[in-house]
Amino acid sequence: MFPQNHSKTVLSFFAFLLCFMGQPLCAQQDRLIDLMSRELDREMQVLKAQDPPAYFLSYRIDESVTSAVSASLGAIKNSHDDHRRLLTVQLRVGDYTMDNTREIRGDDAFDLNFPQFTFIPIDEDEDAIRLVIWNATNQQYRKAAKKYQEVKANTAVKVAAEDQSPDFARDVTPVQHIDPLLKTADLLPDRSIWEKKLKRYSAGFLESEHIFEGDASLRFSAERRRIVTSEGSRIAENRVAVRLLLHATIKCDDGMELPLHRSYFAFDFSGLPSDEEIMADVKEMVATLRAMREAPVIEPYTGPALLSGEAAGVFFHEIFGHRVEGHRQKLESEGQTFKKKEGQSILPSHMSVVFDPSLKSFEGQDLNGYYRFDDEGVKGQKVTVVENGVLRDFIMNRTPFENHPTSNGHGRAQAGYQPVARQSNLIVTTTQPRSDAELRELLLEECRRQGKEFGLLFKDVQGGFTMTGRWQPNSFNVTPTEVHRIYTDGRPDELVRGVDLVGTPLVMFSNITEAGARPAVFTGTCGAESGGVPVTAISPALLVSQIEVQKKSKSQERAPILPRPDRDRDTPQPSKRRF
Amino acid sequence: MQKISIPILILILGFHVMFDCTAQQQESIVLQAMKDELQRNIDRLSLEDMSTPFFISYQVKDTRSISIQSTAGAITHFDSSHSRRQNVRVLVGDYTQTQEHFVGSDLAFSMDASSQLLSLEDDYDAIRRELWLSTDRAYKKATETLEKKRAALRQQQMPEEYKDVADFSAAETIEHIEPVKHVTCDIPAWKKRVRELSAILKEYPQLYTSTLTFSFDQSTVYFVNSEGTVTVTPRMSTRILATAATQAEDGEPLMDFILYEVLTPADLPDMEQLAASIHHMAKTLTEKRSAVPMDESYTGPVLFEDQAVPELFTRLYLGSEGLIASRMPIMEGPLAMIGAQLGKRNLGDKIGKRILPNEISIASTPFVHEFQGTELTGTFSVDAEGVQPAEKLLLIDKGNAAALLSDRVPTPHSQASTGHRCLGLGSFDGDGICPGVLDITVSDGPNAYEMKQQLLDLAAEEGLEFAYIVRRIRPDAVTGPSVSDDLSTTISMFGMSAGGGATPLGDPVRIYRVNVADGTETPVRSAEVLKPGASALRKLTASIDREAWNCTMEGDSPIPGFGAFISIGRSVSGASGGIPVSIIAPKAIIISDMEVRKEKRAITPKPPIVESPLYK
Repeated sequence: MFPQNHSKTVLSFFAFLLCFMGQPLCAQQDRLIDLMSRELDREMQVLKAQDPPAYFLSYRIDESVTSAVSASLGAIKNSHDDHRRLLTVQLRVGDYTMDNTREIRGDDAFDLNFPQFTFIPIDEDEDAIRLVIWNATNQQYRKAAKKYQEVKANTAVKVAAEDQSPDFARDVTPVQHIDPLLKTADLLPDRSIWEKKLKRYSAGFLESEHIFEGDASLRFSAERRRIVTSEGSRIAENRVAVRLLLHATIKCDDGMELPLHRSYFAFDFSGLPSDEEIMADVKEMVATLRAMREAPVIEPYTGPALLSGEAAGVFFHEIFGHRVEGHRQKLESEGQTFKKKEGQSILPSHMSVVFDPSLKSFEGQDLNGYYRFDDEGVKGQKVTVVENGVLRDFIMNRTPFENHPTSNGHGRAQAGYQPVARQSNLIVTTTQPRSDAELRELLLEECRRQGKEFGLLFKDVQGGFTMTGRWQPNSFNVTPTEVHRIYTDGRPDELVRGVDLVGTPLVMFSNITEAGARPAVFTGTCGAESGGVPVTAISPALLVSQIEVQKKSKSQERAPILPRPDRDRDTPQPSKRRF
Repeated sequence: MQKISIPILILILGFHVMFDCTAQQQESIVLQAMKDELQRNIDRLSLEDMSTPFFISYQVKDTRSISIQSTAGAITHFDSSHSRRQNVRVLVGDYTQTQEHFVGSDLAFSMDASSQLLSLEDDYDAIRRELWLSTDRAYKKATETLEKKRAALRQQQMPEEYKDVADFSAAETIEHIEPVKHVTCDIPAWKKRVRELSAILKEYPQLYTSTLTFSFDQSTVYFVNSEGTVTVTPRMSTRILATAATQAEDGEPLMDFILYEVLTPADLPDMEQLAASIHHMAKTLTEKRSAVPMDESYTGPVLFEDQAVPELFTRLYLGSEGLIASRMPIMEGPLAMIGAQLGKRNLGDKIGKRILPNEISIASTPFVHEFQGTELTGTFSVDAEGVQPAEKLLLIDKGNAAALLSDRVPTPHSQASTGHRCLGLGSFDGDGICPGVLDITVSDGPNAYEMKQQLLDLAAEEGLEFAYIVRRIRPDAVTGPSVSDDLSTTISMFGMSAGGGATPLGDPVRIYRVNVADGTETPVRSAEVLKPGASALRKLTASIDREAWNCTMEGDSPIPGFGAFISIGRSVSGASGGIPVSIIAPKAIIISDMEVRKEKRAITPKPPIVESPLYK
């Protein structure tokens, strides 16, 4: 979910997705990069002499060839290919110490955060491309110059900012990295084959007449991201990815709609599971949804809980990941939960957390948060943020803050947005791994200690969001799709429905006690003020001594009045029609 | 909007039309599924103690679209898509009172759940399943809305003019199945042509941005209702839109455009003519950079020629204040405060009164498909509600307002449908009331070539040194490439005027000042033409010779105000869609009492700092 306004709310959304990288290529010169460089040099020659002077200019062109197919309950709803190039201009006026990107402080500050990209030709026509770049640069300079004047006024009339760090990190070594050109025509899938497959997968959801949404969708993308900067960086990085998503929703008699998802992600098609494996997952989803439909609705609860690896990954991404993003430590509108906690213990001493964009796969699973260079042209680096329970560092883009002057390659943005510090591959580890059986026993022990009849197991989650600003409660929400009650008296585990996992970050952190032995990978897209970026969260299961769940909002609509047509014995035959 | 005086079909455009028997067979599956599901629902859909539906209709719009967008000789985006959208209408209550025409405090911004994407395949079960869920949602919503409307009406006085007006009018049952045509489009050939045409604009380095878009839509629309009406209607539309933008030396943003709207790609003018039009536009716009800015407030005669004539009639008579019947909804909550804004006065109150000179009559003639060799895109034989219009409906008879165009929603001035709810072509376009073909006839008047002299004579009589000629007004569906910053773009997109006061008559992108003494013309910029008053219109002069134009109107949107976003999306992307309308209009008209003044602009951006890369 994207922030709605400049109240500095950071709503991050962790949805299912996938993506990824580099493949069969042909070695040719990238003429577009050369053209971008020439136009950039020409523009800078003039703009750096203006008042205010431009001191940094970068052009980023995201070229993507995508193929998308979707089917619903056995029938194709969409099938198309697309090829586009989007230009994003980043232009800074003033100097490294103070520029147009500085936060405007004050209650009346308001800035709509719309993406600003421009379609540039997909044909290799130099004049046409330069004309578009020129026009976009002109508009960006006008905006930057206007904003810089506002920044200067705001700085002059407001109290001194708490953090006096410069606005842009200076010490960056220019990067030269050009991947070979992608031969996209050879990479695109045969959509007719995938149409048949997706029809078959999604038709599996017809087995239950109460499932009213049963979708299977495929998205293949071959992307090439080009960046040139006035500091001399020239980067062209490829990324090829395929994502397959299953989604089904069942309707309960009380109106509640229960969704379930499965997603598969790989760098190429050979990394996807077989048809049989996918159909088995569809069957299992149908069975789970049927069981969930009959499951009791749980009341608000506080007590111990086990989070599966996938659930724990999302949980860490929301409650922790967004709070160690470097630029938030400088913004005065942000909660800055961990800014002053460097060197302090924030997790059990057996736990560590790293962000590693250089990790391409983990135990055979391709990782969505992998990249070589971030969107500011800085090499993506492994950052140990928590070591043996102690906070050591932050993930940084080129926005410095107190004692953190440089980027570690986490400046990321969707095309059209300006980069800020964002997560990559989040990896939670423990030096005291517990088996599943041990974790379960520890959960029951904790329940007994607290006098609880049961604990909760969060087996699967859909995503979550969090708010990190100062102007609203600093809370998070994780949306589970599959929750079980684990009883202390030996009763069988019971599937329940109708709750979200909520809380505030520091309290929740202090309640994490144990971790499992089997890390799980959650693949997602994270949404925040710089748009949607591909991420991964890897975590073992977690035991949390106290969590809180609240009732989930639910649809007030009744189930359909008439039965599904193909299940309606009284459905009219053509002979009975009036027409 | 496009001038089509001579049909030129010289090009070998690599297209053909075929009547597809296989498609007919497959499409019967769509119809069969629609009919069967409709029957099941009308027979059995009910909630205990609540009204049952008395009317259900299903519309399925199957659209195939091709769009090629370009700038300066290079393609920026190509899209070839196929979509199917269903529209479900469920009415509860009875013909006298339905749940419609009511905007409750909670409904204004909710999406219309009855308009959904449908399976692309001719899968009987899949289509029925989608219709089943949409009908169920629409029925529940209708039932709840009817009760809210009844509750609101118990607390409100019904306006006097609506007391005897039913909520839904009866209509004859018809079966109208037109053969489905499929036109294939040679995409590689059109990509090549688009590049070539678009590259012309590179020859004019003083133009900062330009776009050229080719688009082709073909839809087959299936309609069934519970009264027994069944229709299948194919529609087509092809469009070439070229725009260019620049700034005058003082920073004023300037734009111009050409727009050709025809039925099939083969109906477009040949490349030579297209190229000539683009060159002409580019030269005109380049010259306009150094045109004199409007520096006076002028009151006097104005001559409208070329595209400005049909655009003027569109703005005067096909908007909410014109010949379109409109129903003021019952409103409650905070929205009632803005109710008056939605219920603008149309010309219903003027029926029987003179609003134009008695030489002029205006009729809707939707069956006319050709005028002086020009194929008319607006022609149709059955409307989106399955109602057949009359061959000719006189709207203005010898200067007197005679009737309004209407659909099945009765109004104080239209108790029954005239069969003019026209189909919107694009996947996201709503249908709307429009004439199809608007035929403006002039019984007596000068020839077009005599009109300029008449303008000069009129101006001289008033002792004026100059008069004005308007030849091109930017249609709302066309937005020029932005050369300004966000705010002014936004203002322009939403059609707001920074001027206030009298309403401007669109953006006169080609307006000329004429020297009354010698007839010489000088292009003018920064000018704003205000809408003429009722008395000025009663005295207008129209040429007796006419020509046909094809253009597009916006359809209704599922939610109030949402249409603006569809329009913006279309104008920015260059996509086609909208409702095709053809206007057979006089070649020239003079309105003797018009006001032209200096444009009031909120923001004037500075010219670019860096020189265009096209300056070698």
